[in-house]
Amino acid sequence: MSNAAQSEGQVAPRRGSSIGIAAALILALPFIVSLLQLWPSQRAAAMMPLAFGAGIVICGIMALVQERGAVMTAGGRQLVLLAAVALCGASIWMRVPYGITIAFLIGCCFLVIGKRSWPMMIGVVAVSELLAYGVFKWLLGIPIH
Amino acid sequence: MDFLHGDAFSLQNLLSLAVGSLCGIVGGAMPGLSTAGTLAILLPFTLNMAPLPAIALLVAAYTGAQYGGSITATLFNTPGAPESAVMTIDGFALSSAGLARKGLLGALWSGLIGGLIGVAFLVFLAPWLAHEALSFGPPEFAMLAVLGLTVMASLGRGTATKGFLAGFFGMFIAMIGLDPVSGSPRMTLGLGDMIGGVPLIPALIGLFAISEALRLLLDEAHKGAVSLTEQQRVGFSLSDFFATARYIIVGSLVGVFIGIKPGGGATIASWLAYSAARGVAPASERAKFGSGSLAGLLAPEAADKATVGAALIPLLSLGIPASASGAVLLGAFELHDLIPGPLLFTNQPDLIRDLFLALVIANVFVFVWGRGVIEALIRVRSFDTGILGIGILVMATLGAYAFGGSPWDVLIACALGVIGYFFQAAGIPLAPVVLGMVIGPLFEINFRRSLLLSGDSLLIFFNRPVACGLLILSVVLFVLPSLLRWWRGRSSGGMERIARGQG
Repeated sequence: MSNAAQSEGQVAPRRGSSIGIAAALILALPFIVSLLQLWPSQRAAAMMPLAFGAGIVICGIMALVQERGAVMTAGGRQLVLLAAVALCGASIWMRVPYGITIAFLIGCCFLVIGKRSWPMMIGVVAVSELLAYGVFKWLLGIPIH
Repeated sequence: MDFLHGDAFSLQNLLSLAVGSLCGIVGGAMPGLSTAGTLAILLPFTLNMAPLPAIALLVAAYTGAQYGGSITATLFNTPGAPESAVMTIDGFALSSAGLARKGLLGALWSGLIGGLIGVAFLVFLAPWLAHEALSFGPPEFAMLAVLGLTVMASLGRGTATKGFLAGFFGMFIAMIGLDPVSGSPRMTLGLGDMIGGVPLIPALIGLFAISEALRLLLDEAHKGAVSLTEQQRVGFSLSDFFATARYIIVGSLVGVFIGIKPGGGATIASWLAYSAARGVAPASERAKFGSGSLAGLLAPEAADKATVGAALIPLLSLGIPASASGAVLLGAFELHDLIPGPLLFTNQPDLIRDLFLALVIANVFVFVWGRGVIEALIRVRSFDTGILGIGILVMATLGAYAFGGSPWDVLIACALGVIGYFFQAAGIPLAPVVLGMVIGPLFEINFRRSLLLSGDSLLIFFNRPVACGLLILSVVLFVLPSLLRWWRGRSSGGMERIARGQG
């Protein structure tokens, strides 16, 4: 099956397959708790999101039951790259300069794909910095810090 | 309407169409980059453009990506997009027999005709549908949203439970921020940035572009390059065209009628077109299906391209995307302060006319580019997927930043990229997340307005004929697939019992 096929919704390999469902449930929980706190004072505002949150919980539990034989682990490479992407987003949000963050992310990507060609890595970092500060910031006027 | 003096023929628009269709073909042919992913990557580049060239660029990319996906299916047995999967059957068989050029050129012609038939239906059906939709009030729009929700399960090939999980997730995160009726903040977790909610465009970039980049980087099965053997230089002749014309027409009509239904999509259309073409073929041609039939390649290709125009019918007239790519286009409209729906036809008739023309020109551009760059595109498959993944990751983070110039948008894109990767690993389709993000707020605001109008009585949805009709249709569409599955299971069980009895 192609990657694209999966991206449009086809069934993916079962490795780590329950993690996605568990992630949806875990992510929804703090928001559901905040809605329950809102419920006494703002019933109308909390009603619809609570209904959708309940939908996540019900469908999530049903999907977990259907997938009870599935693997619940993620590989080391997966964890490194996913953590790097999450860290990249958080760093940019916390105003760490984009250039430094993206260079770190590109380094992690090269580490994960197992290529240690320094000229290629430096080239990709240089092109990305040129795009960010040359094209997007200087030419298009986007305030990239 | 004065068709030849609109902005559709302006230099900027023609340039957008040319660039968009070329980017679409290349994006569609890229291993692992879906049509929606291609559109999500191009979206930020339209930020500083005028609305028409921006939408034209994306529509042209949509058209181009549909053809690009067929190239890898035909040449390497690897569909560039799910809708091209059916083309691997006869396309790759043709390619293995040294007839790749004939197949690809035939697919170009077939796609052109299919695309133009799709546009013709769009031109005639969309204004009518939009006119009818003008009489809609909050109850009708609420029930229209319910109708959209029923297609969640069909927007992917995972289980219905996972489709609904994805849809509820999309609707849930779309509720973050200010309540649209009272204006009070909800689900902000005390973060100031959360008051603005989860913006759609960075969410799209994260879900489609970043998660695809992660998969390209982590998926061992797609690493490395694929070499290509020299294909014979056999072209697509006029006699081939006449011999396959009826399959192209059948495929186009199937594409239009399936593509118009939200959730129908190009994937279902292309498989049904393959089946329909096989059904109308004479016994001699039918025997070739599966082992290198030109008709088996061209009918799904025509259906695939016809769905582009067809998918724009509900998008433009009702504001409901029929597919993940349609959802990205909806985001593009909103990015340029255009709200698809009946009022778009009333307030922006020139834009609609120019958009129709742009679609026709886009089909022509795809045809011209396709003819010219088939040789070059054959080599696209030899790109290293790891480097491609890094490139997509860089462009996606930049695109999210460019959307509003806010680091918060990059965080949203990265977070949803990681979630999207996990979702795909779990077989949870991503398209319902986007559908949920679009339809959730539409449903909430219209449902609550309806209750305010009726004094909290749900009877308002049953007293109004259109709203009631839409509700009944939603229930039928929701229940029908399960009923059909039950009926098929019962029939096949009965046949087995008869066979056992005879044995």
